Amino acid sequence: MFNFHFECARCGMRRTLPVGGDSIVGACPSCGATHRIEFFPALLRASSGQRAENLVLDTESSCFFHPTKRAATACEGCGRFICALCEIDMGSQHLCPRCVEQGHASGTLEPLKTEYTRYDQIALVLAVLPLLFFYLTLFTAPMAIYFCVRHWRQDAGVLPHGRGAVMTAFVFAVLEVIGWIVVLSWLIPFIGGTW
Amino acid sequence: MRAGTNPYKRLPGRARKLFGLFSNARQQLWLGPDHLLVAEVKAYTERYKRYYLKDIQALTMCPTNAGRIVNAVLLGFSGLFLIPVLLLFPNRHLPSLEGLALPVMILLAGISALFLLFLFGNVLLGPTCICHLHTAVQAERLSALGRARTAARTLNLLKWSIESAQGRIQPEDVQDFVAPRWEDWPPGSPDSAQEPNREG
Ligand SMILES: [Zn+2]
Ligand SMILES: [Zn+2]
Ligand SMILES: [Zn+2]
Repeated sequence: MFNFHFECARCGMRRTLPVGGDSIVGACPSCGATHRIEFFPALLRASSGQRAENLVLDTESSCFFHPTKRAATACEGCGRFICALCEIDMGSQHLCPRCVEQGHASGTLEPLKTEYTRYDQIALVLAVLPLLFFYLTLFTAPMAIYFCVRHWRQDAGVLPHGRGAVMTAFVFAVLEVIGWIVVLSWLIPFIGGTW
Repeated sequence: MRAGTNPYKRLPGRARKLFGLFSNARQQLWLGPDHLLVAEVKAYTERYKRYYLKDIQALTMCPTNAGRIVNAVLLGFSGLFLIPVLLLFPNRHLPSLEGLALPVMILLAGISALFLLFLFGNVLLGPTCICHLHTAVQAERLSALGRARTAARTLNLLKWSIESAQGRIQPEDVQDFVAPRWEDWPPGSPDSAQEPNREG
């Protein structure tokens, strides 16, 4: 018998619900709220815990990290033999703990990336919003260009982001800077008259 | 930047927790080759959580009354601003209201119309719901799926992807459980006799 730990989304009532099929529709016995639940075979997997096998013969390959355990596979990053305990399933890759650690530290392991900063959006706001108070653009346009460059130089994000924001920001910021150069070069002879 | 080979596909769903009134956080759902990526987008940062399709145990959906409550509140506010207009209108020529009545009436009617507009939008978006994704160790609220119509569409897409990764639960997997019925919950609640709303 397999159980699903159900919690009502409306009243919070918890019940252990026996699973008898791949989906169920019913009312919460406590508040009557209808729930639709889809079940998947992962629920039936009794225990996903892996157990490392001991070496039977000394001619068998052993784990790089546990010399007494039998190698189950080779790390796809460094090629070392690893046991079932050391094997880390990264979705598309199977890696040893050391490669995962290195990948996390260097940010090169995509499945471990958990954060991304939208410098392109920051640049866009800095380039467009201050146009309402045009004099602010003297300061914000160079900042917008800085964030455009920063966006361009950082790793591609995990998710697909169009280039619309960074392009728009860049065009606006460059035009603002050109505008300021024209205005200032026209003003400077007046100010500099006393030099 | 990488060329157009990104493996992620955006799933429908752009609802916000509590209609986005108290937080600027948005949730986006992206389907990757072997996992669902739940992105929390906040101002200028994105945070990701990954749920591998082979680890997902269940998807749940529960319709809520939140949409109807919001409709009632919006209708109430709209009426609240319209009532003074209806009271003022017949008396607009009274000397005490001269000059003031018209702009005030236009302002109040405008605010009333604004609430009606929100009401109209909320009606268009349809009924609300709460969805969760369950794994062996956690239950994630899918707040992006706050509207029943979109939620049904996205959950079907997800179900299809999860089943291509895991297969389906076969009758023989659960054969020691004779009749899969909601009524078979362990008794104990006085309301458990309520007529369940079962699908054929
Ligand atoms: Zn309930
Ligand atoms: Zn390795
Ligand atoms: Zn090992």
